[in-house]
Amino acid sequence: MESTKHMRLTGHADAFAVTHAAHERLLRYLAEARTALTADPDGDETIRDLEATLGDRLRAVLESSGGPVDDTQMARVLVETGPVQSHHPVGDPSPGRPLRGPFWCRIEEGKWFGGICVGIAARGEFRLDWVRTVVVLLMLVTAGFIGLVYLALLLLLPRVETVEEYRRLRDTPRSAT
Amino acid sequence: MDSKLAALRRGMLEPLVLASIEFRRRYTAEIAAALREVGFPVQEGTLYPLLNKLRRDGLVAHEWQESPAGPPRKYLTLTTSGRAQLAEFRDYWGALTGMIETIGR
Repeated sequence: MESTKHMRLTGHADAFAVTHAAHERLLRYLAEARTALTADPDGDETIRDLEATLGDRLRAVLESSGGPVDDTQMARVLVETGPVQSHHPVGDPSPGRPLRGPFWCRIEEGKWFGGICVGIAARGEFRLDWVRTVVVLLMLVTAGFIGLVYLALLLLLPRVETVEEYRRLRDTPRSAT
Repeated sequence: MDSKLAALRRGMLEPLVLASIEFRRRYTAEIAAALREVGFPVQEGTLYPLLNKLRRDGLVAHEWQESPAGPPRKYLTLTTSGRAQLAEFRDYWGALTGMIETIGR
């Protein structure tokens, strides 16, 4: 028996029962939608609208089948809703407003301790395992001093949820964030 | 479809969406259904970003209303400038049609 997840969608009071694979598929769809809407000032609003519509469709599926929404049913719902296409030209979000650009942060997704290494890897576009190796080596070489730096960064750096979120913030105009 | 015709068709989306709410307010699924009915199928993935852009541009406005099932719906209406834009499009469209019909005679 495949494991069932319960997920919430904007506007809908009840959680939706979906299989693991269906859940993954929906998350992928929403991530692609967010990427497509990176330059769109109404991106968040559009995502909320989409979630409400997807919820309506999933509810209909649940009412007719009874069980959790499986991957095939989810795929059908997503095809029906269609890929998200922004109506704002990509790469030219809003003329005159500079993009935020790379910034230092710590990232929750895939962190081991505080997510500092993930943040450094995302900021510099380094490989995460290399960054971690270098930090561990520095730890040995500096007899733990780098550990203090790490703790200081932990207090100072802003927290970002995922690497994808970091990229979105980086590529969004300053005043829009 | 021919790519030349596809480009023409893309340009028709916005005026058609505006025209679909000219006489009565509709929510997004109804707009999608109306477009499908006239042979211009468009998916929500395309429609929502467009509607939010039109709202930002001040051409449409929405009001919330409870739905019988699920979350409240956004019913869309044309604003005054939305109506003006639709009228302008119709005039221009008429002029273009006139051109193609008369130029060769």
